[in-house]
Amino acid sequence: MIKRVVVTGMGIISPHGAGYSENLKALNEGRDSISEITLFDSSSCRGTTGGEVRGFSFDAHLKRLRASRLDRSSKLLLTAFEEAREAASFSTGGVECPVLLGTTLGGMISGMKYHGAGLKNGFEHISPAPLVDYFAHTHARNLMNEYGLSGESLTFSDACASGAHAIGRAFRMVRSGESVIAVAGGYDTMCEFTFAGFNSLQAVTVSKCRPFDRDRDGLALGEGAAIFIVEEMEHARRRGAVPIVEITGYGSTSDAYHITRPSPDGDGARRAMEGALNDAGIDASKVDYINAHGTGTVYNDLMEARAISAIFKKSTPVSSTKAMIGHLLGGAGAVEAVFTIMAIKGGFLPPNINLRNIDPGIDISITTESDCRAVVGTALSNSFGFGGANASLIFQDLTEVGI
Amino acid sequence: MRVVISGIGLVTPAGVGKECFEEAVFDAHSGIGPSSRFPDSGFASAEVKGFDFANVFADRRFRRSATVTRYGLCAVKESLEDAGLFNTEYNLERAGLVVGVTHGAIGMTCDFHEDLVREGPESVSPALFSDSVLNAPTGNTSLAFAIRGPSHTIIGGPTVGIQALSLALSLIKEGAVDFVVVLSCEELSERVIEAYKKFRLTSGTEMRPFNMEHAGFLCGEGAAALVLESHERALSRGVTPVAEVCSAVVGGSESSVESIERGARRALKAAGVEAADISAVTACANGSKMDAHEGVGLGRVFAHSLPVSSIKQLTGESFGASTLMSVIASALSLKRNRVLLNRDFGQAGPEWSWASLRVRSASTDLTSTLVSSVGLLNEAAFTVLKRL
Repeated sequence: MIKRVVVTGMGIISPHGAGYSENLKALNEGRDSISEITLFDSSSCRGTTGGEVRGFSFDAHLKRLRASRLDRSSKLLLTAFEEAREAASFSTGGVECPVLLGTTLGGMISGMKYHGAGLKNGFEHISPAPLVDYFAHTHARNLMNEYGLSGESLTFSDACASGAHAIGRAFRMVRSGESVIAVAGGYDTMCEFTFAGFNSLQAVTVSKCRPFDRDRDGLALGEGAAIFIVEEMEHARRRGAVPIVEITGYGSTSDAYHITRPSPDGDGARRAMEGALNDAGIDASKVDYINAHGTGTVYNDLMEARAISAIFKKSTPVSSTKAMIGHLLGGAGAVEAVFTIMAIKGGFLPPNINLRNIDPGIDISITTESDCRAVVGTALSNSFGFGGANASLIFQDLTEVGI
Repeated sequence: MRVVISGIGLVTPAGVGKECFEEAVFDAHSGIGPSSRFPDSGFASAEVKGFDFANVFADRRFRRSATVTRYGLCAVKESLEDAGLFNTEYNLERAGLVVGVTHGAIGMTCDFHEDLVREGPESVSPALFSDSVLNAPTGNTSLAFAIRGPSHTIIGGPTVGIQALSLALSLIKEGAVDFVVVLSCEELSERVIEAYKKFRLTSGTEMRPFNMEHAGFLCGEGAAALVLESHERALSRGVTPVAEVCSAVVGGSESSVESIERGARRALKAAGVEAADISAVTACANGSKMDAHEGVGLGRVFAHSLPVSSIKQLTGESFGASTLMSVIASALSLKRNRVLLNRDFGQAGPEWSWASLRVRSASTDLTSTLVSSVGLLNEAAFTVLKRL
C-alpha cells in the first residue's frame, strides 16, 4: 500500500546564513550573498566570487566524533541535521532510520590537505589523519554513529543532482513502506579543487550569476547543507510531529548526451519533470511555482527553459535562487528544496535576482521580484548535473492535498 | 516480482572477461603478484593484466577517460552482450544504471590536484577535472550505452557493490525501469596503496582471508557489471539467467558484529529463506582485522559446517568492485552447482570455527547462497542469491 510522505523537519545552512529563519528572511528579500572568495586564493581564476557560509563556527557538543578530525563538509552537515532533528522533535538514540545524503565532493578539502602535504613533504612522512573524513560515505556513517541511528546509509554522488536524488530516494522508501522515517539531504563545501575545475571549464562567472539573462556568463559556486526528516504521515501524527509539507513526486532520468553539457533539447530534464508529475498524479497546470536549476550558464538555462516550456503553461512562475547563494553542487538540490518549501509555507515567490534582460530564446515567466501575494500550493524543484543526471521533486501544501 | 541476473561482465586481476574470470574462480587462480605499476611501493597487489581497451571499445570518445571508467565501460559492454541487450532495440528510457564507487578516478584526481598545487589554476586541464569527478564512470557509461533512465553513483566502502545492487533491485520492483546495469569499479593507485598502509590495513606481500593473524589485505582493481531484470522479462527475451537475486540489504549499527548479524538476518528474511536454507556463504574476508567481526557476526546466524569462501585471494581488495565480483562468483557457483574454493590461508581465526573453510569437494547441492560485505564504519551489506 502506498503511504503518504511528509516533511516533519528541515535544517539549513547556506551563504544566506545558518537556520531556517535567517534563510527565509534572506530569500524573501532577495539578498545577494555572493562575494569575493576568502577561503582560498582565487585571484588567478577567471572568476573570483562565490557563496561562502560566512562566520561559520562549529560549536556542536559532540559525544563520539572528534571535531578536530572533521572536514568542513561534516560540520555543515551536522549543523543542518541538528536543526532538522530539533524541528521534527526526532529522538534519535537507538532508532532504526536510513540516512540518504548527496554530495559531489565529500571531504575533498581533507583530501587536498593530505595530498598537498604529501606533495610538499613526501608521502612517507605525512599523517593519514585528514583522510578519515575524506571519503564521502564516512559523513553519513559519522552522523549515524554520533546520533545513535542504525540502518542503511546511502551516499549519492550524482553531481549537482545528488541532494535531490537523496530526497527522492528517501521519499520512495517511505512511500513504499520500506521505512517509516528517513533522514535525507545534501551538502558540499567551497573547495579550491572544485573551483579550479569549474574555472577551467570556463563555467564560473566573471561578473554576476544571472540565470536566464541574455548576458549570463556562468555560475557562482556556493556551499552549504540542508537536511530533511522525511516521514510517513501517520507515523508523524502518532508521535505528535507536525507535518510541514507533503512530498508527492520524484522524477529521475539521464541525458546520455555529454559528460559536462546538458542535452540542448532538454529531453532528459523534461522527462524528469514529467516523471515527477506522473508520480504525484497531477497535471502540469497544478504547479504554482518552479524552483529552477538555473545555473546561469549558457547551456543549462536555455535547455531548462525549453524543457519547462514543453510542459508548463507560460504563466507558471519560475525562478532560480542560485543568483543569491551560488551553486551548492551536491547541496543544491536539498537547499533549493527548502527554498521551494519556504515559498509554499510563506506564500511568496523567491526572486531570480540579477536578471536584467531575459534571453530572447527563453519563453518562460521568470520572477524577478519577491511576490508576497502568491499562493503556492504545489511547487516543483529541479536539479540537473554533470554526466546528465536529472532529478525533479514535487512538494505540496498539506491543505492542497486535503490534509 | 522475481529479479534475476541476466548478464555479467568482468575486468578483474584474476581474468578479463567472464570466461577467464569463471575459470579463475573455479580453479582458484590468483591475480595477485608483485606490483608492476608501483614497484617502489614494495607491496604486492592485484593488477588487471592483458586489458586492451582500444581493442574492446572502439568508441574514441572514451579513449582518454580514466582507467576506472575504461574498466567499467568494458565490463558493462560484456554484461549487455551477455544479456542480449547490446546494440539491440530496447527502450533506453526504461534502462537504469547504478554504479558503486569507493575511490573513483583517483589517479586523475591526484594529477589534477598536483597540477593545481604546482602550476596554479590557470594551468589545470578541464578534461582532467571532468573525468575525475566521482560520477564520471556513471556519466560516461550512460553516454556510451545511451542509458536514459535513472542513473546513480553510490559512494561507499566494500559494501557499495551490494548497496548499488539494492538500489537497482528497488528501481526494478518500483517499475521505474525494465532493466538496470549494476557496476562497481576501482583503479589501483599508489596513493591508495600508501594510505591503507598508513592505516595498517594492508599486509605487504600476501593476502590470507580468515587467517588468525589478520595481517591485512592487498589492494586490487577492476570492474564487475551485471544486468538485473525481472525473471519474466528475461524468459520472454529467451535469456537464461545466471541466478535469482532474492534480497539485497544494507545496514549498520553502533557495532560491526551487531551490524553483520542483524544485516544477515534481515537479508534472509527479505529473501523469504531461513539460515538453514543457505548452502554456502561468499564472505568479504580479506585478511584484515574486519575478518574477525565478520566471522563472529555470521557465526551467530549460521549453523556449523556451512561452506564459506572468499575470492579476495584471487582478486585482491577492490572494495565495491571485489564485492560485486563476489556476487557474480557466487551466482556462477549456483549456476554450476559448485562450491567456490579457498586457496591456502594458513591457520584460520577462531571466529570462523563454525564454518567449513577448507572446502575440497567441488560439487554439492547448492540452492541459495549469501554474499557478505563488511565496511570499516560498522556498515554491512548482504545479498541472497538463489539457483534457478
